[in-house]
Amino acid sequence: MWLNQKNSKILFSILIIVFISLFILLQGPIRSFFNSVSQPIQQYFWSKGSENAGFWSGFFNAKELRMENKSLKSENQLFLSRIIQIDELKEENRKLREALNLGLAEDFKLLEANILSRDILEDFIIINKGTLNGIEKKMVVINYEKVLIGEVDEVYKNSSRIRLLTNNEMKFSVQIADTNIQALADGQGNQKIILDLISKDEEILRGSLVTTSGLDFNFPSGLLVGKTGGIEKTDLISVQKVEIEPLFDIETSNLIFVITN
Amino acid sequence: MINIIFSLILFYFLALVQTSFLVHYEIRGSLLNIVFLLIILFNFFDENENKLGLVVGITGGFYLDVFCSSYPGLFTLLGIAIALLVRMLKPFFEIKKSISFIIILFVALLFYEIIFSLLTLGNNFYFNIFSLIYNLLIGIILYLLIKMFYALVQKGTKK
Repeated sequence: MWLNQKNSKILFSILIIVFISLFILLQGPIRSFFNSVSQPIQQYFWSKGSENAGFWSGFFNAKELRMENKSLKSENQLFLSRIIQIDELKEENRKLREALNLGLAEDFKLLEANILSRDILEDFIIINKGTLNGIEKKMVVINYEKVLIGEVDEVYKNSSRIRLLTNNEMKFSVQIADTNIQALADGQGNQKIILDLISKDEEILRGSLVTTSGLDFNFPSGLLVGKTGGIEKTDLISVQKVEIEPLFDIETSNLIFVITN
Repeated sequence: MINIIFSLILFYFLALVQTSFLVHYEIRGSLLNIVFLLIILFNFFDENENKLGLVVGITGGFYLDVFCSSYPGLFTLLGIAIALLVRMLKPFFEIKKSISFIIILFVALLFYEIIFSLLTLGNNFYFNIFSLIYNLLIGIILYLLIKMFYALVQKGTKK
């Protein structure tokens, strides 16, 4: 036998190295091809999965759900009183807009897309729109409630990869609603995000809304990001860290929008 | 050859299920990795002279690389590494088959979790023990199901 055991192991190793090198070199076209071919199946699996996504979380997070329910009830009371205020402001705002001749259509030009899959290691998702639909790198992705989801990171022919705002390479400027506090949102991976570079003297309330500030030009201002959670202050450093609970929930999302203008 | 084609098709669908369906069933930050569990099972039941287990390792890893974007080639390498690890460990555990499987499954999953933890070393080191337990339990259930199926098939052929 011309190929003994030692030689076959070397040959196997070489073949694997060649195979992986080829994949690294041609990963764009390969992914584009597989995403195009698999789109209907991926869409079917994603929609079936998101329909039942809350099933396990209910089992394992019963305690958290009870606490969340309690805090939601108290928040509800607060919001009811605010609604009355908002209605008055809305009417005032409408009149002002009319007076200033501003329409609402100035907001965004949106392209709807469906989620196909989620990366199991990092915070990325794949959507079913690509270069053929006019998607470009760095375009902003939101949901129907104007909650920021992320930005386009890689574009294929019929699909695109979206870097979620919780991805550990994501950094953008935000502001805490109803205050002048500006901060740097820093993705931590694993669907976590923190606010950094906030002076320790600033008083931040738990549950405050966080929106994009538009200062770094990556994202338009006023997009919802999340709510403030745990606050970490130490005597050793002059800044505090604040955890953010993102408002988007990829597990239950299906339809999202890419801002194309 | 038929086995290879069958594994190519099977793992394609498994990778789709993994990345589009199972990602919705995350429990405390841990995901069920059906592709790697089946790579371990295939290699455990496969004879060492037979190379189907290795093909399955490469195929499963490759499809995960296609549908996950992070480190290109990582899952292919991990698939091969896990297939080789299971094959290497098998002769050391010539005890009761089910106990031997649990030990090998545990070691393979631990190896998998350690690799992922090392990848997060630069950014908030994260080792998920719950993920290990979750996959271990599902792996054992799958093993029992396969054994039951095998017993049923054998019973059918005897008749």
